[in-house]
Amino acid sequence: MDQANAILAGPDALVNYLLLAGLLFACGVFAMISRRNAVGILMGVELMLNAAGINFVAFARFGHATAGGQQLDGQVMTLFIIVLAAAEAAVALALVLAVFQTHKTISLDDVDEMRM
Amino acid sequence: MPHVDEIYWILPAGILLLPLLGFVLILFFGKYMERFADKLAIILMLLAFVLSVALFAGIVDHKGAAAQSDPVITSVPWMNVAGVTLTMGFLVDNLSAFMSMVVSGLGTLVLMYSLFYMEGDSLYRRYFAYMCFFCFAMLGVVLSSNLLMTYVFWELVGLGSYLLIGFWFYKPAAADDRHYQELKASYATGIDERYLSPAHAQKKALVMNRVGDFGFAVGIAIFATVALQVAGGAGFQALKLTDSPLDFDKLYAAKAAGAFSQATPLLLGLSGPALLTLAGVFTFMGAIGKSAQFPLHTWLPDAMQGPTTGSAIIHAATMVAAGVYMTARIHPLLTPTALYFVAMIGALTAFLGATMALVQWDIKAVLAYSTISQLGFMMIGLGSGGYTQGLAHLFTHAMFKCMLFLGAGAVIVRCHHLQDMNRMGGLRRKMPLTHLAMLAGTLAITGAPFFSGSYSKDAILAVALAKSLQHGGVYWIPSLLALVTAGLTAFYMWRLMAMTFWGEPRDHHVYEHAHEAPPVAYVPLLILAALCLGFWWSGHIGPLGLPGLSAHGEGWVNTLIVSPVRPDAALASEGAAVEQTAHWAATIISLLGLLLGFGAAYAMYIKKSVTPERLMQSGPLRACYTLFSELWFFDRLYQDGIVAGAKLLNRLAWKFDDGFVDHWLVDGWEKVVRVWSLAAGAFDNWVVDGTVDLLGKTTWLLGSAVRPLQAGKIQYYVCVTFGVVILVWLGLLLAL
Repeated sequence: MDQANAILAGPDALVNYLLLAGLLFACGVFAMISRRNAVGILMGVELMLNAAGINFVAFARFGHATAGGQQLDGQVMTLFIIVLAAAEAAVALALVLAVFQTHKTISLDDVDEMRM
Repeated sequence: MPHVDEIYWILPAGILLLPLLGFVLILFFGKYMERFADKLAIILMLLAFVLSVALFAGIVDHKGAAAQSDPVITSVPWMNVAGVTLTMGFLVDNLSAFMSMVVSGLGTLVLMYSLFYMEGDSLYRRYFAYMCFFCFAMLGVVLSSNLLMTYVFWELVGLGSYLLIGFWFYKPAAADDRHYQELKASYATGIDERYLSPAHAQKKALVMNRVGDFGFAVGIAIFATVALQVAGGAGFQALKLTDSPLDFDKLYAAKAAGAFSQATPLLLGLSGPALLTLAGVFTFMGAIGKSAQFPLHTWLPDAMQGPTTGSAIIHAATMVAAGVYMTARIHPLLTPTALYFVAMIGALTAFLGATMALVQWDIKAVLAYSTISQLGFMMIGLGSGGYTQGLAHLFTHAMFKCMLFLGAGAVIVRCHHLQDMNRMGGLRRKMPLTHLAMLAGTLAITGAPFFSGSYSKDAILAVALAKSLQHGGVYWIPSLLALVTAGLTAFYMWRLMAMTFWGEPRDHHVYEHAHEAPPVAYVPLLILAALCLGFWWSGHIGPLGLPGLSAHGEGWVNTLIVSPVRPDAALASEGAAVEQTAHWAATIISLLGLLLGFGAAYAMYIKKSVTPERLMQSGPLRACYTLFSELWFFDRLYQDGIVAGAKLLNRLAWKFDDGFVDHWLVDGWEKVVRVWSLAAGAFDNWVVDGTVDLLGKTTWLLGSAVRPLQAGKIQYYVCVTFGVVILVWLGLLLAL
């Protein structure tokens, strides 16, 4: 199986995965831009992280299929991303909670004391 | 180099410091002493006297006849100025040793007498402290080894006199003093009563002395300048003039070596004798002030405002004696011209003082003017070259004048503080011992044979006459004035005796209350009276078989008190012949003067064959009376001329200060500064602050331009981030 076929042909061609990841990333960006709510933005960030994770896994499988041998780098990076995302979510939610306790809102437009 | 024995510094240090110790102890610890302060002062002064006697006996015994008048100087460095070492030290010779005996001895007697005189005074202890200080200062002048140290103690003597004259500083001026106005004689004139108070008298004494001291300072400066200018010159290096140039022995040696005869101008274009004359005359100005010589004599009569005991010590041993003593110290340095100046000043002073004493009604005033006159005599003696004679009169005068003042003090205390002789009289019967002592003093001062005054005064007259005979011309003025004055002296002193002690009582109230002074007062009086006898002072037999003093005769004063610079033998033997003649003439004339003066006083005040009132009918005599009782108008001249002039000057200076300096310079400057500060303020506001503001505003504007980027909208940031990423990506694509 040559490289071009692996990218474009077949039900598990690489391009399908990449399109899914791009769509997911776009959804994340859209969520970040359109949401005022801090939790919404956080969810957008999670989507973008997961899009990156899909990319890693897809390229890992693609690399495994074309070059042969066992290469786990992509999978390991994805595991890192998942752990980081969890940690990031915990910190971010704690921040959001703290902001809510002081400002009685989580709308980021209203949290602007540092603006001149 | 004479062997320096330890007595030359231990004894003088003791003599000098004991009275100072008394002053310090009484001043600072007097209140713990109760009635012991006075006795402490007397004990310390007596100790100083004992040490002085030891010093005199020691020095006479030690040095023998050969070097008897060579001064021995023991000194320590005081300060070093520009390579010149100035020292402080003691000069011990027969003169200083004997003079410290006189000062401490009279100090002891006067302090003893003060137990009686000052009793009950509100400032009793302070008086004894001041007396100790005064004697300390005078002993400093006596024992000082150089002119500068003399000057220092000279000023301390001035301070001592200031403190004692103004001792009763709280007393009002005579014009406001009811007691004075009630007691004074109806015809008392000549004094401006507005200015007759202790507080004014002390200022007058100090200020008039300042005039003389100015000259003294200039004289010292000239001596020092000349000594230093020749210091390195040929023949003067051996004298080591940079090492304490003002030491008396250095100055004598410098003069002997010809330091002052340099032909090259040394100072102000002057050289040689002219410069030395100038230095001598200026230095003598100090003596004119201190010894109350014409024309600075007017402070001395006012000084009677102090306690009579203070007057006694001022008139006898300290203050006025300091001037004569200092003149004797510089005597070897004086040129013939300067000596003539001294003699003329002395003669004028003697004559003026005697004339003013003729008409005084106040018993102390007579004595005060008599002191002025006698000081003039001493100056005549010194100025005529009679070192020994002038100093001998200083000693004898110290004894009898101290005694006369103490006697007068006793009379005043026993007459309810009355000083007007017109209300005394007949006191001889009430105060026999005081009378006896006063009689001895009067005999001495008028020059009666066998009393101390006759020796010293006749010797002065003789030396003055000898000078006139030798030089003639203007040299006759001092001797003739001195002869006239001798007669006047006899008249005013016998007048005093006649009005006070003899005749009938004029005021019975005063007479009845008078009684003899206590022993503490009359013992010092009698001791001093005994010292008025002549045999203490002379062993020399003079004309008419009477004892006398002569520069070339024997007797202890003649042998011991000799000028450190001795005249050469040829001149001396020529002088001796003339002096022999002069001594005869002087003795006879002064005896005649004594008889005439006594006769006139007796006729006018005892026999009353010629009353003063009758004499006053004659025009010229009346004019003389006015002149004398107005004190030759000196006081008025000084008060209305110099003092008023000074006040006018003061007022002009004030006007200048207030009108010109304050109004124009100070206030004008203020306006200038005000305008300048407005301009500076505007510059600061507009230029300096403007620049600062410009910087700030620029920064603000720049900030405003980029501030929208930081909008605080998270979505906006995200859009920008991804926008930039996309742009970079597109750029990379296009670049590839």
